Amino acid sequence: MLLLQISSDNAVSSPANASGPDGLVLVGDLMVVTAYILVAGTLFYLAVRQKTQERKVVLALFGVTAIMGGALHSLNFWGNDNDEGLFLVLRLVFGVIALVTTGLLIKAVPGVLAIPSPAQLQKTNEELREQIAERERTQVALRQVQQELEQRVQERSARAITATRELEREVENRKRAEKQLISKNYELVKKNADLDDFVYYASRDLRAPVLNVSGLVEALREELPPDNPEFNQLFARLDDSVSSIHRKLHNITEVSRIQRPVKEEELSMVSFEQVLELARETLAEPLNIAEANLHADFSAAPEVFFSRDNLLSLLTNLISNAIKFRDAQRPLQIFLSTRHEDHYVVLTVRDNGIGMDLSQYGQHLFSLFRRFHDHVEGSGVGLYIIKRIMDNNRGKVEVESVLGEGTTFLLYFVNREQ
Amino acid sequence: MKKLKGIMLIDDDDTNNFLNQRLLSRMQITDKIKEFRNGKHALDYLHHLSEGDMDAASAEYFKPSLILLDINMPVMNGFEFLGMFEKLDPEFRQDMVLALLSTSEHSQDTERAAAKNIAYLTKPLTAQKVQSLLDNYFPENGA
Repeated sequence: MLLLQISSDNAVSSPANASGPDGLVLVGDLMVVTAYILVAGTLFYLAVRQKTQERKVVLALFGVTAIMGGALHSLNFWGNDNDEGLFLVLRLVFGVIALVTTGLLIKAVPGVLAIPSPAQLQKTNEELREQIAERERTQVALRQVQQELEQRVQERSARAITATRELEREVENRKRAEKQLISKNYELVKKNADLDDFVYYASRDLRAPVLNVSGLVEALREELPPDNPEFNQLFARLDDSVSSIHRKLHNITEVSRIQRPVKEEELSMVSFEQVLELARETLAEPLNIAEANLHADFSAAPEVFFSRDNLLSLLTNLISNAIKFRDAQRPLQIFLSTRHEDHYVVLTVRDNGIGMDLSQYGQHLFSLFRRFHDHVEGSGVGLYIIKRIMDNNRGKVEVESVLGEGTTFLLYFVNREQ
Repeated sequence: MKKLKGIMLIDDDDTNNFLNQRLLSRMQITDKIKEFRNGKHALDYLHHLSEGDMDAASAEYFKPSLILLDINMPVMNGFEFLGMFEKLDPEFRQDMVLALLSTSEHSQDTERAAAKNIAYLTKPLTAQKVQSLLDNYFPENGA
């Protein structure tokens, strides 16, 4: 459009040789040329100052078009008719350049439009800044959450550590308690053994002075005139008391003796027959008084691996038990026999005594110092000793009894026959 | 019955010594009885006798033909005495008989005594027990 204007201007102001009004036309042209040059300069300056390539090009093209406009107007100053042909060529050239430039301009416009304006840029910038601020806020929030999480994790691990320490302390305490218990237990076992030892030695040491007393009583009886009813009565009571002390001491010694563990060297193969003979000697007097008949058959199992003293104690107690609880209506019969059963050697001692009601006394039968009869002399020790000896040697005792018919004791010895 | 040359009683229990001395005196089996309170004193006495340190003429000193020995004694007990006694001159001790005395019977003790062929008597000592001892160990003195 500018070019067309220029062209029309040129067409209007083509008669350049005119003066007067022609002079005014020249002044006008000069002003237009000046204006064109100023515009072109400004455009070039702007093009130089632009940072983007597209704007540089567009402004430069505008500048070139302005220069072309200025150049066409400046041709009027050379109003020389001789050069009519050259002017026409120049006008054509300038026109072509302007047109080409304009074509290039049109092509360049979309590129320029694609470049965001400072306002757009600022808006975008603000949006970006907003986004950044948003992200920062999000980040802050995230950090806060992370810190909270970390704090919670720390708290939890702190709690876990405390719990673990408490557990460790608890375990430590229990260990200490256990140790104390073990040492207390050991102490008790030791004290118990000491006590057993004490009772054993005390009862054993008391035997000597008691024997002396009975010896002195005997000596006194010999020294005093006989046939004195007063003395005889006193001596009878003295004898009773002394023999009672004897018996009780013997029982205490026996009970404390069997509490002591049996030493390995005390164990050997012991013959039932031989030990029964010893028991028979020990109980010679009461056996005589009771007119008891002993029937022994140890042929099925003649020996057992046991402590000789303990087997003697068992047989003595079993036989004296049978004597104590004999039936006055019939002569006492005691049957002793042995046999093998599973991994036991079984000793059976059967009598025809008064028997007992096991449903009534059974559970207390083997208790220490328990007595179920008051018509017979007893200390309540015999059966306890039997039970203890069998228990200590991993054996067992069984009792069968019928009231008025008799009692049978079955002693199970662990068979350690080599 | 021929009397024994002498009897030695070794027991820390005075009353028991008294009763045993009384019993033996009444049985009239010897004229000489000597008491000792422990094995050490008795052993010293026997040692001096074996060395010939004693005045043989004195009635105070005599060689016993029977020694009654208590097992449970302080200073030197019956078995310790036996151990030391066996170290004395064999010729000196060949005509002496030893018997152990105890308040109660323990199979360990009776077995040890049996191994040494020594009589083992439980207290109290009675005329019957003394007589059976004499019958066993002094048959030539028999009534």
